[in-house]
Amino acid sequence: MHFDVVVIGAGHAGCEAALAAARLGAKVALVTLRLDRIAQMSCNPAIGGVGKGHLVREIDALGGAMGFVADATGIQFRRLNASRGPAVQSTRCQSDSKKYREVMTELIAAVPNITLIEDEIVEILRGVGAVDKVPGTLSVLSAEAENHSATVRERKHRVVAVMGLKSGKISCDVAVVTAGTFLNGLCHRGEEQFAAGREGDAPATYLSNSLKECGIELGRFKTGTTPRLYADSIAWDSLEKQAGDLPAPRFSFDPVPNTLCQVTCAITHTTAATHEVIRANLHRSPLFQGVIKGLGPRYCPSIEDKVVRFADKERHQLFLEPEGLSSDWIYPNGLSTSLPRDVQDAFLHSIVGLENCRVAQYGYAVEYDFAQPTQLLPSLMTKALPGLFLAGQINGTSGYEEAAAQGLMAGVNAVRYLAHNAPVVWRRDQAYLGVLIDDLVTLGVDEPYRLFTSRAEHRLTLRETNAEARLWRVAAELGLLSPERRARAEAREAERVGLQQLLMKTPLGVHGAAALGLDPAVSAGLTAAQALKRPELDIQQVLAVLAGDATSLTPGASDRALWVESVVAPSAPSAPHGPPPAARGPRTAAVPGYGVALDATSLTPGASDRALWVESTNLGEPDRTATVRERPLGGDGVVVANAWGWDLVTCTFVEEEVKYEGYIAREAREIVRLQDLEGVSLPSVFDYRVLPGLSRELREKLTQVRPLTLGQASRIRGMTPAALALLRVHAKRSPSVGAKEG
Amino acid sequence: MLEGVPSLADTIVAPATARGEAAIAIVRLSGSEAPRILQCLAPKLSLPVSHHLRRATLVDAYGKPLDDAMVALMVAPHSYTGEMVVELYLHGSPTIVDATLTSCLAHGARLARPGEFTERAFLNGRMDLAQAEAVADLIHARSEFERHLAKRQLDGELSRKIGDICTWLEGVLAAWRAATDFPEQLPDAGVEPQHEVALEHAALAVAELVAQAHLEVKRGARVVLCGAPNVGKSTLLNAWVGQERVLVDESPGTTRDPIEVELYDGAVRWSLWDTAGIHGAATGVEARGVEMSRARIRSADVAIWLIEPKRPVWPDAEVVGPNLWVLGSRADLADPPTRTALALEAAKRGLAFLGWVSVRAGLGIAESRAAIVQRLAPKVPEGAIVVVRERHLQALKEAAAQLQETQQLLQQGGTLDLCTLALEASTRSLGRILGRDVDGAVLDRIFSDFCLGK
Repeated sequence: MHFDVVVIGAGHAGCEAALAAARLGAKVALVTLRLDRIAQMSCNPAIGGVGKGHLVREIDALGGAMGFVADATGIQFRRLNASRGPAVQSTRCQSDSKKYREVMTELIAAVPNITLIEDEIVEILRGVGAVDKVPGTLSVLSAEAENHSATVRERKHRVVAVMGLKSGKISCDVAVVTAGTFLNGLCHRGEEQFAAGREGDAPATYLSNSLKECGIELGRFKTGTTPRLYADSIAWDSLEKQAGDLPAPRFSFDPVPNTLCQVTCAITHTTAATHEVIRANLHRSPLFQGVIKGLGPRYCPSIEDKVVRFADKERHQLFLEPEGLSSDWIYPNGLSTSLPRDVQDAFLHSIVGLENCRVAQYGYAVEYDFAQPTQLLPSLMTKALPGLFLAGQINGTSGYEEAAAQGLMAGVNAVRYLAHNAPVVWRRDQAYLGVLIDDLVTLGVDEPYRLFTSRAEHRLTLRETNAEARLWRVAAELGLLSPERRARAEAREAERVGLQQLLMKTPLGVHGAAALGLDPAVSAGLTAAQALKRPELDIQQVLAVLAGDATSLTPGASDRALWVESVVAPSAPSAPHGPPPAARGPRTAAVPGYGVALDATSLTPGASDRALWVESTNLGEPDRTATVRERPLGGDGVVVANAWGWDLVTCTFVEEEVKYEGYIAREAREIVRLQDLEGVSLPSVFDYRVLPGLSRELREKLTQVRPLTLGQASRIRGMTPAALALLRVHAKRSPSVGAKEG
Repeated sequence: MLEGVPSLADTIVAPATARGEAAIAIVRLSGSEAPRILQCLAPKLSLPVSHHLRRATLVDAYGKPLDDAMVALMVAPHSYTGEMVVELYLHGSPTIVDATLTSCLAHGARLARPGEFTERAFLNGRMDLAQAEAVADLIHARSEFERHLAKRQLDGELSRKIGDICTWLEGVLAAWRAATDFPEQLPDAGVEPQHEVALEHAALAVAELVAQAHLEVKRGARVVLCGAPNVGKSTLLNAWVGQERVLVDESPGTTRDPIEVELYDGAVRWSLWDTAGIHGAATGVEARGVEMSRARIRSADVAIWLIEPKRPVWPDAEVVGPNLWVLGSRADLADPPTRTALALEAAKRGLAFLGWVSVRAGLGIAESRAAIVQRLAPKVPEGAIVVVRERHLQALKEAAAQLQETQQLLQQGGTLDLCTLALEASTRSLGRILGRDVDGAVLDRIFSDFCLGK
């Protein structure tokens, strides 16, 4: 059999890679050790978070799957950093991990040009010869490009096939390795050691050798996971609860139906006794014994790490999260450990609320091979072997979102490589995808990499809310969006533009200014947009005023400015396991200026809040009421356009654009200024030994990374302003000096 | 080495001392070939220990003796440029220097471009940009005060101050970034009182640097000599300068084109401009000259209005300002009561009166010059860090504005993301002083300011 692309590993990276490549027309084989473990959440049953939420929304804007699946299977949605400004706000959800797997597996199975194969790939085979063009792929590119051809010219070999234990030789032109933590995975729990990619899954033992033979150097990392507890053995009543946000934030820009019950989590903390138990048993921790060779993540430290490093902290906060609606397991977030079973029992029982808990699965650490990502081109193809792409945790990242993001780009660029097109490489001012991949291939990693908003310079430009606005056109040009999705994206843009223009063109008028608390003599001539810039006003108030004084509305008049502000769900049947949900009354909807609306009983529980709109208002005194209805959904779940109500998402977007206009413009000017550096290209094959005055380490780094622009060089770890000036002077004066022939 | 294309791989050579006859002339080489070239120049010399002076007979390309010289080798990276450096201490004859340069070129060195040695020092990390600029300031210093300031900047005083301010700000940034990166683990983290204290501290330090900036130290105070036609401006200028720089004629209205002279007095570098006499009845070419004079007065740091006792013409409202000082000319033609009356009149008009000069009688020339210099001298507290470059002042003002914005945002309850972005902008502005993030065009301009050999 022959495939254009073989994706090795069906985790979060592998799924996005396969789906993206297939969407672009390639014939894809997705190989996994176990078909029932596709998109398994090995650790935290959650998607999103600071910086990670940004990735998920960008993946969605590019037609990827993670946003959709997260929305469909989420059981609690929250917005982080809500009070800290739009540049750092991120979405996060708890997922039903079983349903997540099921929905993703269904998605993949439904794609005709993806063939699922259950097997272990043990070798990557090299050969010579040119790659045939893949029919039906685009040759249009608007994003930044870097030249594959130099690499391809240099190397004689390319990928020609992979070898499966059961399937034998599978011929292919591209192999995307997304093996996660499976390469020579070795798990540690106290004195126990067992070879596994994760609990219950055998590791991949041959593939590492094959990668090394292909010229990839591998290092060793470790990451830990928490124990899992039985929900019914936890004393929920004594613990503080945390519910999701309402209206629930979503990842996908498309409306995704989700009728799942939303859960609450509980918060608890360690005690002095917990810390004592841990400290007394550090000698039995593989970490501290030096048994684990790999480096661990600083941002997701084990509880042993935390207790030692933050010795003066009296307690560490923990979140108890349900793994799923049909699961009786609880995931205690913040309790990653590799201590032996008996120690885990002991310290768990010292935690508030967990005094009588029973352990369903003990925590452990997994050590695994990873490839230093400076060995990759910005397209995620290896420099050593054309046709070999690496994506996901194998590149030293942690997190499902970082993996999925890389998988998507590897899938896209694999197909572009086959079509002899320049790859898609995002700049740091275009997407968090760009920040992530640039960090990896330029800086490399010395511990498992996690994305944060602070890693991005242009945070106002790269908000979560404008991910689709930024990326959908390029996604459409690249062929990543279905025609229907493209149409919806276009419609959403029209909504945003329409609302923004309405605000910019409509003056407040005398009554409007007064209603907003402004002096009509001065502010009557202000446009709604200008009024919105004032810090004390928000878009809801301004829109309400545009529609006029509520009392002046004739019944049934078009009041486009009204929408459903919040929805409270009825007390749905609680999750079979886990904490009982906070008590809730009958489902009501609040409409600004109207108080609580009635007649919400016709609403289906759990319907997407964005599908609600104000149908009519009743101005009878003393109770002004509004009738709230669900928007009719089309057969495929698409919201039918109608004249009522601005989408809350549209409003948030426009509010940000208007209020932060000045800051966004300033950031845009800074980006232009930095283009100066990004625009200076360095020769892709260049002998850095020719340059005097560079320290040996810098010379090695430059040779390893082979930066293509001065901008990329400036981000190399340890790059000094002096060395950069040296490169600049050199690039300007004698671009050909030192370049190798060919 | 590619023909005609200067490269950082080249070994450069240039005289390090000014051209002319002197006891000693120094020729300096920098680059990986420097030791080899030294060997070619002095074949009988065994390679000296680093940083030790040795005596050697230098020969030219034909083996003929060039000079009996002292030589030194500075092994990288412990040299001015951070590369291999060779210094040749020759007898100070231009012929010998030329011959030595020729030999160096014959052995593979290249003549250095202006500022190239210091440019390499900066590029090799031996100094930051502020220090590299201080080298130029030191070389061009015309007064002890300038030299002293430049030396302190070369020692890194300004760099350390900037570094300290950046450290305070980066501490605050780290806390704010932690708050937004870990909202679940640090739910209550945000702006703490100590952050606001650090910001205030930094803002004050930056404001102090801005207030103590004296750009005129480097670029010179602009002093303009003005007054009615034929009050003796040009005569006085010639007297101050000590030579006939300006054409003087009995008939009024001789000076048409402004003449500029540079003067140095102790701490003060100033440029003195003569102007055409200002009077209302000027026409044609003369009128244009008058207009130019007025423009010069407006753009000057100080204007000195010369007034003569027989027909005193006072400055009109257009030119009067706090930086206009009145000086009495042709003192020999006025008796003491007249002189006193004029001084009182000046006081009545609210004008500063400097005193009297008479060039013909040789009175008050040095004193008047000294009075001017004394008023021009920058009043700088002992030990204060004085910024003398426009580029630095500009960056400091930007940083001050961005810090102020951060503080205002905090006061108005602005969101943390905006505060963080504003604070990051201010640390970037400060970093530019040290050379971080500076674009190439700026670097080119800085280093082309240097003379050959530096």
